[in-house]
Amino acid sequence: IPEILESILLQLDMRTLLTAAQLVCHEWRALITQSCRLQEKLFFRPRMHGPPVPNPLLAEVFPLVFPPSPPPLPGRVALAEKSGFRNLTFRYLDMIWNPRKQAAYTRTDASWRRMLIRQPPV
Amino acid sequence: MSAQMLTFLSNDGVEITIARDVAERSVLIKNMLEDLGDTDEAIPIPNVNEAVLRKVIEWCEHHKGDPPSTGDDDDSRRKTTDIDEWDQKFMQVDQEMLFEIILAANYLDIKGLLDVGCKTVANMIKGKSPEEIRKTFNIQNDFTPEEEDQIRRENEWAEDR
Repeated sequence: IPEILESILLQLDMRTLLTAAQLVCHEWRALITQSCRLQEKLFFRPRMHGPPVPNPLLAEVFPLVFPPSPPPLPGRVALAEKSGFRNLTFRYLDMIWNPRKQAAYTRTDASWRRMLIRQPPV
Repeated sequence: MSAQMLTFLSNDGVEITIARDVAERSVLIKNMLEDLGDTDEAIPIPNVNEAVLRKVIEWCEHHKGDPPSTGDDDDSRRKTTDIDEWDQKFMQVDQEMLFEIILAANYLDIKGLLDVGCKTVANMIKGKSPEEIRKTFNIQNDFTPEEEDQIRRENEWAEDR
């Protein structure tokens, strides 16, 4: 029953839902791409209400973009870049740190490109 | 005066008598009693057999004091893997029984039990590979290798490091 499968999949963590559940069979894949609530959970479709939640997967692999560190003042960014500080931090991005995953990130159809960075979107 | 005890008839013909407040954990039965008024006759539950019905009743009895669900559907406040210890033990049944309980909870409209059932199944899926999930639930892989490859590549960036 699709409603029950949807309730089950809504209880999954985002990574399992994205990387494993979609690959189980056509039925699961279709449900995940067509269900509004599952698409919201994957940050593909905007959710219009509820408390703000940052995209946990993007926060993990692109930590620079996310709070809690308050956005640096424009002047400081330039300064940090001069001092090489920013480059240092960039090294720890998953896509830089993990050379074998670079291709996975740089694909034009990589799904992170379609994701919202928080729900509800700003 | 409403009757304090109610009798139900499972689809395999067994009568089970339980307290009304326990039975009313089921929204379906609660609404039915409101519509039909009191009855001394056994109420048939056509979709549920005795073994499953007894499990469902066991859950309802244990949870009869719980505050009724608020209808608040937002799952942000409860953590996904949170299942209380009693419920975890309760759900240690074979897979067929687990799915029968979920279907019965869905049919009888017992939200709390349906939630616990879905969480239990979700915990069986978490962290597994697609192949392991298929094996666990006996699902056929009906993707062509090309389709499978395409979906995998789109999401490869998020795979576990």
